[in-house]
Amino acid sequence: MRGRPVLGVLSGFLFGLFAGVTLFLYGVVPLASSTLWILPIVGVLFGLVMAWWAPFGGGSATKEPAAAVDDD
Amino acid sequence: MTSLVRARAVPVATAAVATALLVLLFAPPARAEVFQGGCTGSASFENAGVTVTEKQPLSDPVTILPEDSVRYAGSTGQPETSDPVPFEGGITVALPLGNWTFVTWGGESTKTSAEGDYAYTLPGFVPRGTGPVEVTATHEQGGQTCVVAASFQVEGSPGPLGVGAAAGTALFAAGTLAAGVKKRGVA
Repeated sequence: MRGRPVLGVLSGFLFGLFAGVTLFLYGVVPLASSTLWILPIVGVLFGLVMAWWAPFGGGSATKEPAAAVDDD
Repeated sequence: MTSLVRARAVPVATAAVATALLVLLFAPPARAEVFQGGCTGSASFENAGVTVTEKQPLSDPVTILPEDSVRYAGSTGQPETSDPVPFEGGITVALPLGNWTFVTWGGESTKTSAEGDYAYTLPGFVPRGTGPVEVTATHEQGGQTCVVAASFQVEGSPGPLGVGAAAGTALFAAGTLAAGVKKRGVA
């Protein structure tokens, strides 16, 4: 993958977990909702998609070494 | 062509699984009254001004106060016995995965009804203003099993706990997006 899959999986899981907890704490979903365990899974998948897609630049392609200059 | 098909299979499969999960996520839960057996009961929250009975719909959450006094009454609907009969029961909270039984009772008795007063104060770590919490009470006595469930919400706001959860959501959303930054040396 061109992006960062480990970061995507870990952050995606925690993103889904915290999002579910936030939705429950603010009264959007009940405690027994399947949302609370589905969101971490969706987060992991989202992270993997981001790592595969890698739409953001950040790495530069390896440059060709400069040709040697002949001082003679 | 084979490598191209394989390369596209991963995101297609991921998108299919994510779509299935999102459909499940937003599908409305099947809610119905849970009432089994011939028991009757009520709980009157004095300061909140609400009374819960065995017929309380699950879809209609009861809002209670962080601390209150409850006048309760319950009956199995059976006549009292001359000899003690065993009874047992408990109260369970429904969690995202599974249930948590936090109160149980049991013993032997000739009585088939009970009433009284109970004062409670919720600990500070119990969040206020959250989504409904489904609570199920079960009682078995004299060959009869009674099950009743109701949804409860605690009045108030989530406070710092909610702010922290929202901040964590934003932080890890940024981390997830950062996974889309190309690695060094990759075109």
